[in-house]
Amino acid sequence: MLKSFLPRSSRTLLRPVASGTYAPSAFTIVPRRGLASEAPEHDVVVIGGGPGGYVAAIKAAQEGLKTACIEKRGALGGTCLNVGCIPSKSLLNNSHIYHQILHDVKNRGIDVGDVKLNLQQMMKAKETSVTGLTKGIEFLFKKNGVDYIKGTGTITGENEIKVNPLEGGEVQTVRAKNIIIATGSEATPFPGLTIDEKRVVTSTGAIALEQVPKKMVVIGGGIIGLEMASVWSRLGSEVTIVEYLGAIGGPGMDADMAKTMQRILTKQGMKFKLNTKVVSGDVSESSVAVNVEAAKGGKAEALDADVVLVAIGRRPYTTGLGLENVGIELDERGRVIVDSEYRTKVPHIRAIGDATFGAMLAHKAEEEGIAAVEYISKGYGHVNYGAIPSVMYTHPEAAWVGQTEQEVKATGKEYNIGSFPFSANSRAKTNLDSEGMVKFITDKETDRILGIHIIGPNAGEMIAEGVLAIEYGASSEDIGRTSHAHPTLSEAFKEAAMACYSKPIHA
Amino acid sequence: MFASPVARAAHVRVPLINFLGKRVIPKNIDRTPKVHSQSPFAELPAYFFNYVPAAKKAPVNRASIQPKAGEYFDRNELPQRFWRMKISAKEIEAIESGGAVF
Repeated sequence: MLKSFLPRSSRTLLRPVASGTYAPSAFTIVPRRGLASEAPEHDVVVIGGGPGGYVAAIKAAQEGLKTACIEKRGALGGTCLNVGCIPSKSLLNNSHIYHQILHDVKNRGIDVGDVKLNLQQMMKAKETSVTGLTKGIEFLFKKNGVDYIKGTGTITGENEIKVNPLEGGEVQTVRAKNIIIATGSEATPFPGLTIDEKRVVTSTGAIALEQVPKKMVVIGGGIIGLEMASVWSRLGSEVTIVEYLGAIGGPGMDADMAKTMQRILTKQGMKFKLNTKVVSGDVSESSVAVNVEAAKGGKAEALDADVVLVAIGRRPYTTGLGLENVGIELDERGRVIVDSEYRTKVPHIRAIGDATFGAMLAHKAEEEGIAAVEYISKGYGHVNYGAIPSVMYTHPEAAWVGQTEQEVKATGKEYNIGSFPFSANSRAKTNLDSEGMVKFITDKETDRILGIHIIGPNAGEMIAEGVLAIEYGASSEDIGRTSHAHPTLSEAFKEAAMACYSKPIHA
Repeated sequence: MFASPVARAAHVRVPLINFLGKRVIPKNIDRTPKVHSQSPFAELPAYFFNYVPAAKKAPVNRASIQPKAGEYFDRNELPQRFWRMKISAKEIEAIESGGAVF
C-alpha cells in the first residue's frame, strides 16, 4: 500500500516533462508500465462457478452482500453442468430411449421401423441442454447482481485476489472482505495410463466420444463408472467393469442393493470383474490393453478395449489458487482444511464443496454454499450431513440416504428392516418396469428411520421423501400412516415403511 | 370385539416428526472453531484457535478493507496527474537498446 503523499510543492516533480527525457520519481514504489485495474471491494468473492460456487454467489447477493464470482472455464456451472452430471444425464436419458425402442417397445404394442443411432445428434442434444443451463446461471447472476468475472483467480493476500482474465489482458485485482473457495475437483488419474480423452478417457472424454467403441473397459465400479458404462452399453459397446472392491456402487451403497444392482446390470449385458486390480495398461495404435489380476494376487489377464474409462474417483482441485500465499493448508488428500463453519486458517476465507471434506456431490456443495454465506451474513448455517442423498442414474436408478445396513450393524444398535419390491407395485407393473425394491432400516427401539435404500424406476425422485423423513427424524410409522396416491411408485415407499413396523398390504 | 380403554391408550401413536415452527437463529451461538463433521481429523490444528476472540464477535467480516484516508493501493487510484507518464516510442527504444547510440 502506498503511503501518501508529497507536499503540494513537490508535485511539480511529477508533472510531465519533455518527451525523451526521464522524470525523476518522487515515489518509492517500483515503476512499471501501464495502468493497473482498479481494485473494487466486494463483501464476498467466490472463486469457482460450479454448483457450490454459483449458489453461494447468488445467495450472498440475495443477502445484500456485494458479490463477485470468478470462473475460469468461460461457462458457469462447473464440472457438474459442463462435463458431469448434466451432460451425462442427457446421454443416459437419450441412450435409454434408444435402447428401449430397440429392445422394449415391441412388447408394448409399438412396432417401429429401422432404428438408427445418430450419435452426433445425441451429442448435440446434450450440448443444447448444457448451453441452456449455463446461460441460465448467467441470467441468475445478472438478476441478483452478482459480478461475474471470467478468469483464473489466485489468492495473493488475505483480502486480495488477482484475476488473470480469460480473454487476455491485464491482471485484475479484486478485493474481498470474505472469500469462498469453491474450486471443485478433477478426475483422479490412473498411474501408468495417460489420459488423452480419446481412447483413455475420464468422464469428460466419456461423454464426448465420437463413435461407439466396440469394446470398453471401465476402471472403477462406482457411480460415474456405472452410469457411463450404461450409456455405452445401451448404444452397443461391449462393456467390462473392473472394480478393486468386492461390490459395485462405491462405499456408500448398501451391500444388498449393490448385489441387486449388479444382477440387474449384468442382465443388461455388462460384465463385471470384482476384487480385481488393474496392474498396467498398454496403448497401441489399434487398441488399449488393460492388464488385470485378482486384487489379492492371482492369475493375470489382459482385457482388450477400444476405449478405457478411468473412473476411480475424483480429487480436489486447488491448483494455482495461491493458498500458499496465505498459509492455508491442505490435508494429505488435497482437501482444504476447514472448521465446522467452513473457515480456513484465515477465518474470512472459507472453502466448500469438493475442495474440502465430505462427499463429492453437487447438492452437498450447494448446501454448503448456502450455509457458508449464512455463516457470513447471520453467523448461523445448517447442513445435515446425515441427510445428503446419493443417486445413481442407471436404469433402474439407485438412490439412498442415511446409513447402510452394514453401518448400522457396526454401531451395535438393534434395528428393523422393511422392504418392498416394485414387482408388487401396481404402477411399476403396469409400466412394465418393475425391477428393484425399497428398503428401510429403522431403530428397533424408537422406530426412527436410520437409512433408506431404493433401486427402481425414478428412485432419484423418490428418495426426496426419504431425505425429508431423515432430516426431520421421522419413524417408519410416520411414513406408513401418510397417504400416498394410487397408483404411484411411491406406494412402494409407503409399503416398505409399513413392512418395518407392521406388515405391507400388497406383499 | 372392542378394545379396552387401557389397550386403546396403549396404542396412541405419537409421531416422531414434530412441527418445528418458524426457524429462528439462536441467540447465543458458539462460534468457537469446531471440527467439521466430515473431517477425518479428531481435532482442529492449533492455529484455528488463533481467531477465536475475533470469531466470537461479529459474524460478518464487515470491517472495511479499503485504504484509510490518504492511503492508496495503487498509483492509478490517485488523480491523473500522479499517474505514471506514458513512455514514448523513442524512450522504449532507448531502454531496449540498453542505451546504445546508433
